[in-house]
Amino acid sequence: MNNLGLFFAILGAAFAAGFAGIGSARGVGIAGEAGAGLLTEKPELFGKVLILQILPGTQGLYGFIVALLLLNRIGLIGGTPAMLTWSQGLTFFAAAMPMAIAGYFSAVYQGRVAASAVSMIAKDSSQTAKGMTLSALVETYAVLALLVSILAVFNIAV
Amino acid sequence: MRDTNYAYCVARVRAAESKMLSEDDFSRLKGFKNTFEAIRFLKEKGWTSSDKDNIREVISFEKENLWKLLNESVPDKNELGVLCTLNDFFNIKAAVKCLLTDTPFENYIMMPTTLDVALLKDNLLKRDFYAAFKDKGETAEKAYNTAVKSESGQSTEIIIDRAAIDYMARYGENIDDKVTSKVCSFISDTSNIKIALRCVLTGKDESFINEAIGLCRSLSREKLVASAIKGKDELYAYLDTTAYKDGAKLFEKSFSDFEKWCDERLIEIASESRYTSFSFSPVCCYYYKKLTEIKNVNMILSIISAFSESVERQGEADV
Repeated sequence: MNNLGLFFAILGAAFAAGFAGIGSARGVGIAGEAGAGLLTEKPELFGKVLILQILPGTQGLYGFIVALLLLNRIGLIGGTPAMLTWSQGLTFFAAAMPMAIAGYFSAVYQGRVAASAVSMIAKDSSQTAKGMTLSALVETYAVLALLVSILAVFNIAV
Repeated sequence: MRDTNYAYCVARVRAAESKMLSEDDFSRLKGFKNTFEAIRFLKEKGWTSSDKDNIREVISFEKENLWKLLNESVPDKNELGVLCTLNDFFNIKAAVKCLLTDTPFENYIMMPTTLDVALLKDNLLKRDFYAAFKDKGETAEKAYNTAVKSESGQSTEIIIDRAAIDYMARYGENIDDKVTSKVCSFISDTSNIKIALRCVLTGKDESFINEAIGLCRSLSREKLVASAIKGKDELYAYLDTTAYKDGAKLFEKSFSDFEKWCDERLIEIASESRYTSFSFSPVCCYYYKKLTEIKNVNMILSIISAFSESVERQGEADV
Protein backbone atom coordinates (compact mmCIF):
# COMPACT_ATOMS: atom_id res chain seq x y z
CA MET A 1 0.00 0.00 0.00
CA ASN A 2 2.99 2.31 0.48
CA ASN A 3 3.72 2.22 -3.24
CA LEU A 4 0.14 2.82 -4.35
CA GLY A 5 1.07 6.23 -5.75
CA LEU A 6 3.85 4.74 -7.82
CA PHE A 7 1.53 1.96 -8.96
CA PHE A 8 -1.06 4.43 -10.28
CA ALA A 9 1.61 6.48 -12.04
CA ILE A 10 3.03 3.40 -13.78
CA LEU A 11 -0.50 2.27 -14.61
CA GLY A 12 -1.02 5.64 -16.31
CA ALA A 13 2.16 5.17 -18.37
CA ALA A 14 1.07 1.64 -19.27
CA PHE A 15 -2.36 2.85 -20.38
CA ALA A 16 -0.91 5.67 -22.49
CA ALA A 17 1.47 3.37 -24.31
CA GLY A 18 -0.89 0.39 -24.31
CA PHE A 19 -4.16 1.86 -25.50
CA ALA A 20 -2.60 4.24 -28.01
CA GLY A 21 -0.53 1.30 -29.25
CA ILE A 22 -3.57 -0.99 -29.59
CA GLY A 23 -5.43 1.78 -31.42
CA SER A 24 -2.53 2.26 -33.80
CA ALA A 25 -2.21 -1.46 -34.41
CA ARG A 26 -5.91 -1.60 -35.31
CA GLY A 27 -5.75 1.53 -37.44
CA VAL A 28 -2.64 0.43 -39.31
CA GLY A 29 -4.25 -3.00 -39.71
CA ILE A 30 -7.44 -1.63 -41.23
CA ALA A 31 -5.54 0.66 -43.61
CA GLY A 32 -3.16 -2.21 -44.41
CA GLU A 33 -5.99 -4.56 -45.35
CA ALA A 34 -7.41 -1.97 -47.71
CA GLY A 35 -3.91 -1.33 -49.04
CA ALA A 36 -3.38 -5.03 -49.72
CA GLY A 37 -6.66 -5.11 -51.64
CA LEU A 38 -5.56 -2.23 -53.82
CA LEU A 39 -2.03 -3.56 -54.34
CA THR A 40 -3.41 -6.89 -55.55
CA GLU A 41 -4.86 -5.04 -58.53
CA LYS A 42 -2.42 -2.09 -58.82
CA PRO A 43 0.99 -2.94 -57.30
CA GLU A 44 2.48 0.25 -58.74
CA LEU A 45 0.66 2.29 -56.05
CA PHE A 46 2.72 0.80 -53.20
CA GLY A 47 4.37 4.12 -52.23
CA LYS A 48 1.06 5.96 -51.90
CA VAL A 49 -0.55 3.11 -49.98
CA LEU A 50 2.38 2.91 -47.58
CA ILE A 51 2.02 6.57 -46.55
CA LEU A 52 -1.70 6.12 -45.89
CA GLN A 53 -1.04 2.96 -43.89
CA ILE A 54 1.62 4.66 -41.72
CA LEU A 55 -0.62 7.57 -40.69
CA PRO A 56 -2.61 5.79 -37.93
CA GLY A 57 0.67 4.52 -36.49
CA THR A 58 1.63 7.88 -34.99
CA GLN A 59 -0.74 7.58 -32.03
CA GLY A 60 1.25 4.59 -30.77
CA LEU A 61 4.35 6.74 -30.92
CA TYR A 62 2.65 9.58 -29.02
CA GLY A 63 1.54 7.13 -26.33
CA PHE A 64 5.08 5.85 -26.08
CA ILE A 65 6.42 9.43 -25.67
CA VAL A 66 3.91 10.22 -22.90
CA ALA A 67 4.79 6.96 -21.14
CA LEU A 68 8.52 7.71 -21.36
CA LEU A 69 8.11 11.28 -20.05
CA LEU A 70 5.89 10.07 -17.23
CA LEU A 71 8.30 7.30 -16.22
CA ASN A 72 11.14 9.83 -16.36
CA ARG A 73 9.21 12.29 -14.17
CA ILE A 74 8.64 9.70 -11.47
CA GLY A 75 12.31 8.72 -11.64
CA LEU A 76 11.71 5.17 -12.76
CA ILE A 77 14.01 5.47 -15.77
CA GLY A 78 16.82 6.93 -13.63
CA GLY A 79 16.57 3.95 -11.30
CA THR A 80 15.40 5.86 -8.21
CA PRO A 81 11.59 5.97 -8.22
CA ALA A 82 10.06 8.90 -6.36
CA MET A 83 7.95 8.17 -3.33
CA LEU A 84 4.53 9.25 -4.52
CA THR A 85 1.39 9.62 -2.47
CA TRP A 86 -1.64 7.88 -3.88
CA SER A 87 -3.14 11.25 -4.87
CA GLN A 88 0.05 12.14 -6.77
CA GLY A 89 -0.04 8.75 -8.43
CA LEU A 90 -3.68 9.22 -9.43
CA THR A 91 -2.84 12.65 -10.80
CA PHE A 92 -0.15 11.12 -13.03
CA PHE A 93 -2.66 8.46 -14.04
CA ALA A 94 -5.18 11.16 -14.98
CA ALA A 95 -2.49 13.05 -16.90
CA ALA A 96 -1.87 10.01 -19.08
CA MET A 97 -5.56 9.42 -19.80
CA PRO A 98 -6.04 11.97 -22.64
CA MET A 99 -3.35 10.23 -24.64
CA ALA A 100 -4.64 6.74 -23.82
CA ILE A 101 -8.27 7.45 -24.72
CA ALA A 102 -7.88 9.92 -27.59
CA GLY A 103 -4.92 7.92 -28.90
CA TYR A 104 -6.93 4.70 -29.10
CA PHE A 105 -10.04 6.13 -30.74
CA SER A 106 -8.28 8.56 -33.08
CA ALA A 107 -6.01 5.78 -34.36
CA VAL A 108 -8.94 3.47 -35.12
CA TYR A 109 -10.91 6.21 -36.85
CA GLN A 110 -7.84 7.39 -38.71
CA GLY A 111 -7.39 3.83 -39.91
CA ARG A 112 -10.93 3.83 -41.26
CA VAL A 113 -10.42 7.15 -43.02
CA ALA A 114 -7.10 5.90 -44.43
CA ALA A 115 -8.81 2.73 -45.70
CA SER A 116 -11.48 4.85 -47.36
CA ALA A 117 -8.73 6.98 -48.87
CA VAL A 118 -7.15 3.80 -50.22
CA SER A 119 -10.49 2.98 -51.86
CA MET A 120 -10.53 6.49 -53.26
CA ILE A 121 -7.07 6.25 -54.82
CA ALA A 122 -8.01 2.81 -56.12
CA LYS A 123 -10.37 4.60 -58.49
CA ASP A 124 -8.21 7.68 -59.09
CA SER A 125 -4.62 7.75 -57.89
CA SER A 126 -4.35 11.51 -58.49
CA GLN A 127 -6.50 11.98 -55.36
CA THR A 128 -3.77 10.72 -53.00
CA ALA A 129 -3.02 14.14 -51.48
CA LYS A 130 -6.69 14.68 -50.66
CA GLY A 131 -6.89 11.25 -49.07
CA MET A 132 -3.83 11.99 -46.95
CA THR A 133 -5.25 15.35 -45.86
CA LEU A 134 -8.53 13.75 -44.80
CA SER A 135 -6.67 11.11 -42.80
CA ALA A 136 -4.28 13.65 -41.28
CA LEU A 137 -7.17 15.74 -39.95
CA VAL A 138 -8.10 12.95 -37.54
CA GLU A 139 -4.54 13.21 -36.20
CA THR A 140 -5.28 16.72 -34.85
CA TYR A 141 -7.10 15.32 -31.86
CA ALA A 142 -4.34 12.89 -31.04
CA VAL A 143 -1.87 15.80 -31.13
CA LEU A 144 -4.09 17.87 -28.83
CA ALA A 145 -4.33 14.95 -26.42
CA LEU A 146 -0.55 14.54 -26.57
CA LEU A 147 -0.04 18.19 -25.67
CA VAL A 148 -2.48 18.00 -22.76
CA SER A 149 -0.85 14.85 -21.42
CA ILE A 150 2.68 16.30 -21.75
CA LEU A 151 1.72 19.59 -20.08
CA ALA A 152 0.01 17.72 -17.27
CA VAL A 153 2.88 15.28 -16.73
CA PHE A 154 5.44 18.13 -16.58
CA ASN A 155 3.42 20.26 -14.19
CA ILE A 156 2.57 17.72 -11.51
CA ALA A 157 4.57 18.47 -8.38
CA VAL A 158 6.62 15.47 -7.22
CA MET B 1 -18.55 -9.62 -38.47
CA ARG B 2 -16.77 -6.28 -38.12
CA ASP B 3 -17.43 -3.90 -40.99
CA THR B 4 -13.68 -3.21 -41.24
CA ASN B 5 -13.22 -6.80 -42.46
CA TYR B 6 -14.44 -5.51 -45.82
CA ALA B 7 -11.52 -3.04 -46.17
CA TYR B 8 -9.46 -5.41 -48.35
CA CYS B 9 -12.34 -6.49 -50.50
CA VAL B 10 -13.75 -2.99 -51.11
CA ALA B 11 -10.33 -1.54 -52.04
CA ARG B 12 -9.74 -4.41 -54.47
CA VAL B 13 -13.15 -4.07 -56.01
CA ARG B 14 -12.71 -0.29 -56.40
CA ALA B 15 -9.38 -0.87 -58.13
CA ALA B 16 -11.01 -3.42 -60.44
CA GLU B 17 -13.85 -0.96 -61.09
CA SER B 18 -11.35 1.63 -62.33
CA LYS B 19 -10.22 -0.85 -64.99
CA MET B 20 -13.71 -1.25 -66.44
CA LEU B 21 -14.40 -0.10 -69.98
CA SER B 22 -15.28 3.58 -70.37
CA GLU B 23 -17.84 5.05 -72.75
CA ASP B 24 -14.99 5.93 -75.12
CA ASP B 25 -13.85 2.32 -75.05
CA PHE B 26 -17.36 1.17 -75.96
CA SER B 27 -17.47 3.69 -78.82
CA ARG B 28 -14.16 2.37 -80.14
CA LEU B 29 -15.31 -1.21 -79.71
CA LYS B 30 -18.40 -0.53 -81.80
CA GLY B 31 -16.18 0.79 -84.59
CA PHE B 32 -14.24 -2.44 -85.19
CA LYS B 33 -14.94 -4.25 -88.43
CA ASN B 34 -14.20 -7.77 -87.19
CA THR B 35 -14.14 -9.67 -83.91
CA PHE B 36 -10.40 -10.37 -84.14
CA GLU B 37 -9.60 -6.63 -83.86
CA ALA B 38 -12.27 -6.13 -81.20
CA ILE B 39 -10.94 -8.96 -79.03
CA ARG B 40 -7.39 -7.65 -79.44
CA PHE B 41 -8.62 -4.25 -78.23
CA LEU B 42 -10.31 -5.87 -75.23
CA LYS B 43 -7.06 -7.64 -74.39
CA GLU B 44 -5.23 -4.30 -74.47
CA LYS B 45 -7.78 -3.02 -71.98
CA GLY B 46 -6.90 -5.87 -69.64
CA TRP B 47 -10.07 -7.82 -70.31
CA THR B 48 -8.35 -11.16 -70.57
CA SER B 49 -4.79 -12.31 -70.15
CA SER B 50 -5.38 -15.63 -71.85
CA ASP B 51 -5.17 -16.48 -75.52
CA LYS B 52 -8.92 -16.87 -76.00
CA ASP B 53 -9.92 -15.85 -79.46
CA ASN B 54 -13.59 -16.58 -79.89
CA ILE B 55 -16.42 -14.56 -78.42
CA ARG B 56 -17.84 -17.27 -76.22
CA GLU B 57 -14.50 -18.08 -74.66
CA VAL B 58 -13.64 -14.42 -74.05
CA ILE B 59 -16.99 -13.82 -72.37
CA SER B 60 -16.91 -16.92 -70.20
CA PHE B 61 -13.29 -16.27 -69.23
CA GLU B 62 -14.19 -12.76 -68.11
CA LYS B 63 -17.12 -14.08 -66.08
CA GLU B 64 -14.80 -16.63 -64.46
CA ASN B 65 -12.31 -13.87 -63.64
CA LEU B 66 -15.06 -11.78 -62.08
CA TRP B 67 -16.18 -14.61 -59.87
CA LYS B 68 -12.58 -15.51 -58.96
CA LEU B 69 -11.91 -11.93 -57.86
CA LEU B 70 -15.02 -11.84 -55.68
CA ASN B 71 -14.24 -15.24 -54.18
CA GLU B 72 -10.73 -14.17 -53.28
CA SER B 73 -11.83 -10.86 -51.78
CA VAL B 74 -15.04 -11.31 -49.82
CA PRO B 75 -14.44 -12.20 -46.15
CA ASP B 76 -17.60 -14.30 -45.85
CA LYS B 77 -18.12 -16.45 -48.96
CA ASN B 78 -21.72 -17.21 -47.96
CA GLU B 79 -22.63 -13.63 -48.82
CA LEU B 80 -21.79 -14.28 -52.45
CA GLY B 81 -24.72 -16.70 -52.52
CA VAL B 82 -27.16 -13.87 -53.16
CA LEU B 83 -25.35 -12.96 -56.38
CA CYS B 84 -25.85 -16.43 -57.83
CA THR B 85 -29.34 -17.10 -56.50
CA LEU B 86 -30.95 -16.63 -59.91
CA ASN B 87 -28.33 -18.89 -61.53
CA ASP B 88 -28.97 -21.55 -58.87
CA PHE B 89 -32.68 -21.55 -59.66
CA PHE B 90 -31.97 -21.57 -63.37
CA ASN B 91 -29.82 -24.64 -62.75
CA ILE B 92 -32.74 -26.30 -60.98
CA LYS B 93 -34.88 -25.70 -64.07
CA ALA B 94 -32.16 -27.11 -66.31
CA ALA B 95 -31.65 -30.11 -64.03
CA VAL B 96 -35.35 -30.98 -63.94
CA LYS B 97 -35.63 -30.74 -67.72
CA CYS B 98 -32.47 -32.78 -68.24
CA LEU B 99 -33.68 -35.48 -65.83
CA LEU B 100 -36.98 -35.74 -67.66
CA THR B 101 -35.38 -35.90 -71.08
CA ASP B 102 -32.31 -37.96 -70.10
CA THR B 103 -30.01 -35.22 -71.33
CA PRO B 104 -26.56 -34.66 -69.81
CA PHE B 105 -26.91 -31.79 -67.36
CA GLU B 106 -23.29 -30.57 -67.41
CA ASN B 107 -23.66 -28.52 -70.58
CA TYR B 108 -26.51 -26.45 -69.18
CA ILE B 109 -25.03 -25.35 -65.86
CA MET B 110 -25.14 -21.60 -65.45
CA MET B 111 -22.10 -20.24 -63.67
CA PRO B 112 -21.41 -18.83 -61.11
CA THR B 113 -23.38 -21.01 -58.77
CA THR B 114 -23.29 -21.99 -55.13
CA LEU B 115 -24.01 -25.59 -56.08
CA ASP B 116 -21.31 -28.23 -55.82
CA VAL B 117 -21.02 -29.00 -59.52
CA ALA B 118 -18.75 -32.01 -58.96
CA LEU B 119 -21.36 -33.80 -56.82
CA LEU B 120 -24.39 -32.54 -58.70
CA LYS B 121 -24.51 -35.30 -61.30
CA ASP B 122 -24.39 -38.17 -58.77
CA ASN B 123 -26.93 -36.54 -56.50
CA LEU B 124 -29.30 -35.91 -59.39
CA LEU B 125 -29.05 -39.49 -60.60
CA LYS B 126 -30.02 -40.59 -57.09
CA ARG B 127 -32.83 -38.00 -57.19
CA ASP B 128 -31.39 -36.59 -53.96
CA PHE B 129 -32.45 -32.99 -54.54
CA TYR B 130 -31.61 -31.86 -51.02
CA ALA B 131 -28.00 -32.96 -51.40
CA ALA B 132 -27.80 -31.47 -54.89
CA PHE B 133 -29.45 -28.11 -54.22
CA LYS B 134 -29.05 -27.71 -50.44
CA ASP B 135 -31.51 -25.08 -49.14
CA LYS B 136 -33.22 -24.99 -52.54
CA GLY B 137 -33.75 -28.76 -52.53
CA GLU B 138 -37.42 -28.53 -51.57
CA THR B 139 -38.13 -26.39 -54.63
CA ALA B 140 -36.23 -28.78 -56.89
CA GLU B 141 -38.09 -31.81 -55.53
CA LYS B 142 -41.48 -30.10 -55.83
CA ALA B 143 -40.70 -28.96 -59.38
CA TYR B 144 -39.53 -32.43 -60.41
CA ASN B 145 -42.57 -34.19 -58.92
CA THR B 146 -44.89 -31.68 -60.58
CA ALA B 147 -43.16 -32.16 -63.91
CA VAL B 148 -43.43 -35.96 -63.63
CA LYS B 149 -47.10 -35.88 -62.61
CA SER B 150 -48.45 -33.08 -64.79
CA GLU B 151 -45.97 -33.25 -67.67
CA SER B 152 -46.40 -29.48 -67.84
CA GLY B 153 -43.29 -27.43 -68.34
CA GLN B 154 -45.08 -24.24 -67.42
CA SER B 155 -46.23 -25.49 -64.00
CA THR B 156 -42.66 -26.53 -63.24
CA GLU B 157 -41.30 -23.17 -64.30
CA ILE B 158 -43.83 -21.31 -62.16
CA ILE B 159 -42.78 -23.26 -59.07
CA ILE B 160 -39.10 -22.50 -59.64
CA ASP B 161 -39.56 -18.85 -60.63
CA ARG B 162 -41.85 -18.22 -57.70
CA ALA B 163 -39.34 -19.83 -55.31
CA ALA B 164 -36.53 -17.67 -56.78
CA ILE B 165 -38.56 -14.49 -56.31
CA ASP B 166 -39.57 -15.40 -52.76
CA TYR B 167 -35.97 -16.30 -51.93
CA MET B 168 -34.68 -12.92 -53.17
CA ALA B 169 -37.43 -10.99 -51.40
CA ARG B 170 -36.80 -12.77 -48.09
CA TYR B 171 -33.05 -12.36 -48.44
CA GLY B 172 -33.53 -8.63 -49.03
CA GLU B 173 -35.74 -8.40 -45.97
CA ASN B 174 -33.30 -10.13 -43.66
CA ILE B 175 -29.96 -8.67 -44.75
CA ASP B 176 -28.57 -5.72 -42.75
CA ASP B 177 -26.80 -4.16 -45.71
CA LYS B 178 -29.20 -1.50 -47.02
CA VAL B 179 -28.00 -1.35 -50.61
CA THR B 180 -27.92 -5.13 -51.05
CA SER B 181 -31.39 -5.26 -49.52
CA LYS B 182 -32.63 -2.70 -52.07
CA VAL B 183 -31.01 -4.66 -54.91
CA CYS B 184 -32.76 -7.87 -53.81
CA SER B 185 -36.07 -6.02 -53.51
CA PHE B 186 -35.65 -4.54 -56.96
CA ILE B 187 -34.90 -7.93 -58.50
CA SER B 188 -37.88 -9.62 -56.85
CA ASP B 189 -40.25 -6.75 -57.64
CA THR B 190 -39.24 -6.40 -61.30
CA SER B 191 -39.47 -10.17 -61.75
CA ASN B 192 -43.01 -10.03 -60.39
CA ILE B 193 -43.86 -7.16 -62.73
CA LYS B 194 -42.51 -9.11 -65.74
CA ILE B 195 -44.58 -12.14 -64.74
CA ALA B 196 -47.71 -10.04 -64.19
CA LEU B 197 -47.33 -8.30 -67.56
CA ARG B 198 -46.72 -11.58 -69.37
CA CYS B 199 -49.73 -13.17 -67.65
CA VAL B 200 -51.91 -10.28 -68.79
CA LEU B 201 -50.59 -10.40 -72.36
CA THR B 202 -51.13 -14.16 -72.60
CA GLY B 203 -54.53 -14.06 -70.87
CA LYS B 204 -53.76 -16.26 -67.86
CA ASP B 205 -56.48 -17.00 -65.33
CA GLU B 206 -56.73 -15.91 -61.71
CA SER B 207 -55.30 -19.06 -60.13
CA PHE B 208 -52.31 -19.05 -62.46
CA ILE B 209 -51.56 -15.38 -61.70
CA ASN B 210 -51.96 -15.96 -57.98
CA GLU B 211 -49.59 -18.92 -58.14
CA ALA B 212 -47.00 -17.20 -60.32
CA ILE B 213 -46.56 -13.85 -58.56
CA GLY B 214 -44.25 -14.07 -55.59
CA LEU B 215 -43.43 -11.95 -52.55
CA CYS B 216 -43.05 -8.24 -53.18
CA ARG B 217 -41.08 -5.71 -51.13
CA SER B 218 -41.86 -2.23 -52.43
CA LEU B 219 -45.01 -3.26 -54.27
CA SER B 220 -48.28 -4.51 -52.86
CA ARG B 221 -48.63 -8.15 -53.92
CA GLU B 222 -52.39 -8.05 -53.41
CA LYS B 223 -52.79 -5.00 -55.65
CA LEU B 224 -50.44 -6.41 -58.29
CA VAL B 225 -52.33 -9.70 -58.43
CA ALA B 226 -55.76 -8.01 -58.38
CA SER B 227 -54.86 -5.57 -61.16
CA ALA B 228 -53.26 -8.32 -63.27
CA ILE B 229 -56.45 -10.36 -62.96
CA LYS B 230 -58.55 -7.38 -64.08
CA GLY B 231 -56.44 -6.77 -67.19
CA LYS B 232 -53.77 -4.79 -68.94
CA ASP B 233 -55.16 -1.29 -68.33
CA GLU B 234 -55.71 -1.89 -64.63
CA LEU B 235 -52.22 -3.33 -64.29
CA TYR B 236 -50.60 -0.34 -66.02
CA ALA B 237 -52.77 1.97 -63.90
CA TYR B 238 -51.51 0.30 -60.74
CA LEU B 239 -47.87 0.30 -61.85
CA ASP B 240 -48.23 3.99 -62.66
CA THR B 241 -48.65 4.63 -58.93
CA THR B 242 -45.43 2.79 -58.04
CA ALA B 243 -41.69 3.45 -58.38
CA TYR B 244 -41.70 1.21 -61.46
CA LYS B 245 -43.93 3.40 -63.62
CA ASP B 246 -41.08 4.43 -65.98
CA GLY B 247 -40.18 0.80 -66.59
CA ALA B 248 -43.78 -0.27 -67.10
CA LYS B 249 -44.23 2.41 -69.77
CA LEU B 250 -41.23 1.00 -71.61
CA PHE B 251 -42.71 -2.49 -71.42
CA GLU B 252 -45.63 -1.20 -73.51
CA LYS B 253 -43.13 -0.31 -76.27
CA SER B 254 -40.84 -3.32 -76.13
CA PHE B 255 -39.67 -5.94 -73.69
CA SER B 256 -35.98 -5.28 -74.45
CA ASP B 257 -36.42 -1.60 -73.52
CA PHE B 258 -37.86 -2.71 -70.21
CA GLU B 259 -34.94 -5.12 -69.67
CA LYS B 260 -32.49 -2.29 -70.41
CA TRP B 261 -34.31 -0.05 -67.94
CA CYS B 262 -34.10 -2.78 -65.30
CA ASP B 263 -30.33 -3.17 -65.85
CA GLU B 264 -29.73 0.57 -65.62
CA ARG B 265 -31.93 1.01 -62.58
CA LEU B 266 -30.30 -1.95 -60.84
CA ILE B 267 -26.86 -0.39 -61.33
CA GLU B 268 -28.21 2.96 -60.15
CA ILE B 269 -29.46 1.35 -56.93
CA ALA B 270 -26.26 -0.64 -56.44
CA SER B 271 -24.20 2.52 -57.06
CA GLU B 272 -25.63 4.03 -53.88
CA SER B 273 -22.75 2.17 -52.25
CA ARG B 274 -20.16 4.43 -53.89
CA TYR B 275 -19.54 6.29 -50.61
CA THR B 276 -19.23 3.09 -48.58
CA SER B 277 -15.87 1.61 -47.72
CA PHE B 278 -16.83 -1.09 -45.25
CA SER B 279 -19.71 -3.26 -46.40
CA PHE B 280 -20.76 -5.92 -48.89
CA SER B 281 -22.66 -3.45 -51.07
CA PRO B 282 -19.65 -2.22 -53.15
CA VAL B 283 -19.06 -5.88 -54.09
CA CYS B 284 -22.68 -6.26 -55.11
CA CYS B 285 -22.45 -3.02 -57.10
CA TYR B 286 -19.26 -4.10 -58.89
CA TYR B 287 -20.75 -7.51 -59.70
CA TYR B 288 -23.79 -6.06 -61.44
CA LYS B 289 -21.77 -3.33 -63.20
CA LYS B 290 -19.25 -5.84 -64.51
CA LEU B 291 -21.98 -8.27 -65.50
CA THR B 292 -23.68 -5.52 -67.50
CA GLU B 293 -20.37 -4.63 -69.11
CA ILE B 294 -19.84 -8.27 -70.10
CA LYS B 295 -23.40 -8.44 -71.43
CA ASN B 296 -22.87 -5.29 -73.53
CA VAL B 297 -19.53 -6.48 -74.88
CA ASN B 298 -21.11 -9.82 -75.76
CA MET B 299 -23.85 -8.01 -77.65
CA ILE B 300 -21.41 -5.75 -79.53
CA LEU B 301 -19.10 -8.65 -80.43
CA SER B 302 -22.05 -10.69 -81.67
CA ILE B 303 -23.20 -7.81 -83.88
CA ILE B 304 -19.66 -7.28 -85.21
CA SER B 305 -19.39 -11.01 -85.90
CA ALA B 306 -22.75 -11.13 -87.71
CA PHE B 307 -21.90 -8.00 -89.69
CA SER B 308 -18.43 -9.19 -90.76
CA GLU B 309 -19.92 -12.56 -91.81
CA SER B 310 -22.58 -10.86 -93.91
CA VAL B 311 -19.91 -8.63 -95.51
CA GLU B 312 -17.85 -11.73 -96.31
CA ARG B 313 -20.89 -13.47 -97.81
CA GLN B 314 -21.71 -10.37 -99.83
CA GLY B 315 -18.08 -10.27 -101.05
CA GLU B 316 -18.22 -13.92 -102.06
CA ALA B 317 -21.52 -13.35 -103.85
CA ASP B 318 -20.06 -10.34 -105.70
CA VAL B 319 -17.07 -12.45 -106.79
